Amino acid sequence: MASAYLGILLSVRTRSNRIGLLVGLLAGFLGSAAAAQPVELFECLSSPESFPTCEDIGGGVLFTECPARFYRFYGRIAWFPLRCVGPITVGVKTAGFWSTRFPLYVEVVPLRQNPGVCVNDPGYVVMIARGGFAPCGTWETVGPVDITTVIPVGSSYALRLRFFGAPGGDSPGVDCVRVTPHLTGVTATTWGQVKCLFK
Amino acid sequence: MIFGAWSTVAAQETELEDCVGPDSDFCYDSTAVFVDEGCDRTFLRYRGNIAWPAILNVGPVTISVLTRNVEFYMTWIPLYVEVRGRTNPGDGTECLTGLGGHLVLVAQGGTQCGGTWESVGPLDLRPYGVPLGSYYNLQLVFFQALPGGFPGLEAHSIGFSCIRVVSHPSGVQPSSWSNVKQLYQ
Repeated sequence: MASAYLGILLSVRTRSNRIGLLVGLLAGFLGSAAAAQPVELFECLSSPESFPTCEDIGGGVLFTECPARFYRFYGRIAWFPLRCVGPITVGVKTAGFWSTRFPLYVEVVPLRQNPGVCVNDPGYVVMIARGGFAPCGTWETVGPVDITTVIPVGSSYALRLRFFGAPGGDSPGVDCVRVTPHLTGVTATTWGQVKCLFK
Repeated sequence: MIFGAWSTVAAQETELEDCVGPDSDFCYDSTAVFVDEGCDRTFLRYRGNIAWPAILNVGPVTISVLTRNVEFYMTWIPLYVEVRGRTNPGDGTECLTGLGGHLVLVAQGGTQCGGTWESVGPLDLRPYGVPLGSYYNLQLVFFQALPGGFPGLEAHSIGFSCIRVVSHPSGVQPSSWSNVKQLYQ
């Protein structure tokens, strides 16, 4: 358990995520790591404090006439861990350009004990984003999507984007991602809390 | 990431011919899902990547895949074929699936029995970050959507059967400085 958390900690680049993971690390040692994980996500790559948890290869920055910047990659980027509490709505703010020829695949990835979601964990596609041509980007959204069929309530998952790129063409650029949960009546709990309920 | 006995292709291989089956040479992220076996060809699909041990770039290549599309409209996703230079010290040549890459082919999948070959080439891999004389990864990228209300009708990638890489060595070969000096002595 401790080595798994250390692995996560070393792969994270942002201060906010580090703080979050330190909280997660402490909670993990206390036996309630899942409860410490965020259930929603809002990150914009334009923000100097915002980076994905992991990425394969950077593919450059696309500047627009707006303050927002849009980033491209070769391969995958991901944010994790997130805790599943029910169906989710997923949004990505994308920008298409003259060179945009390929879609952007948005996946949820069930996390294993030792997460490797940027490299090889199989995921499930929840949306295929094409990239709008509005000057300041376009939100592409899907939801509510029931991910509990593959990610049980209370367990951890990642949001992963899969880019494609080649000389002369690539996937749209991305600035922001958002995951909004829709809480269900079914929530994860501990055995001790269950016993308290029936006392 | 799966490492196994199938990673036996010699490191100096410059070409590739491989099909799904017990003797296949690729490593994979997930288990296979059966797609079709009509006309004496077996087609499988995966989630995530499958890849082969590194191949040596000795000149332009033609890359071909044999794929099969048996899905209903809107339930299929193309198969993406990527290359990735393994040029950094320590990159090695073993079979690795977890690498980002550069797209070289988007296979749509043939609907006829036995599948359809789709090819790209001759392709100079240098603009894709693979210098002559260096190794590169060849990988296929599969997807599968979340299960929906109709099991089996969720969108997923087409079936894959075989891959072929044919090299067209160029007259330009990498050489050391001492070799060049010898040529002009």
